[in-house]
Amino acid sequence: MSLSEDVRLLLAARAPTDPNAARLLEMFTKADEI
Amino acid sequence: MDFDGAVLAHRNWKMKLKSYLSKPDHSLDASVVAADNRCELGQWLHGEGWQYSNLPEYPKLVSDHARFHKAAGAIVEKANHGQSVVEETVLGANTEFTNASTDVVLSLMAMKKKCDLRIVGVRSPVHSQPGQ
Repeated sequence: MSLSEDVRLLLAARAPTDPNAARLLEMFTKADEI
Repeated sequence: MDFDGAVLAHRNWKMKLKSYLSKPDHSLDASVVAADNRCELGQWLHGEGWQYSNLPEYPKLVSDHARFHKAAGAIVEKANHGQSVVEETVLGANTEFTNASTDVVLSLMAMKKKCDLRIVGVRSPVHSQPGQ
């Protein structure tokens, strides 16, 4: 799974108020770790 | 913009890129092309299209779109250095650029299909029970 830095920052900015953004950010972060 | 419009926006962006690649004049910066949040589809994905972010296809689309722009940026970088990129962009080529572009369109169509089924109230076969 690829996530650009721009979109990662966008998701991170939304995450505190948007559970879906937080979920997606966590999903991409986990994918990076694998 | 609906899903068909998103597909069209992606195709139009690709056509403009191919037009540039036919005669690169250094007016395009590879890093700008590689950015996946500046094109019309990228703006839609994180704007109006965010309403679909709960669909399982959404993260795949974001990933495919990022792959596509990364590949496009690399191609523009090559073209701006005077290298041939014809083999990487020609229709039917098995390259990251063409594969990622196809994946973007397939993800959009899959999301459209899922949303259309929801609108007409068709149940997913997975959740249908015998006799219902």
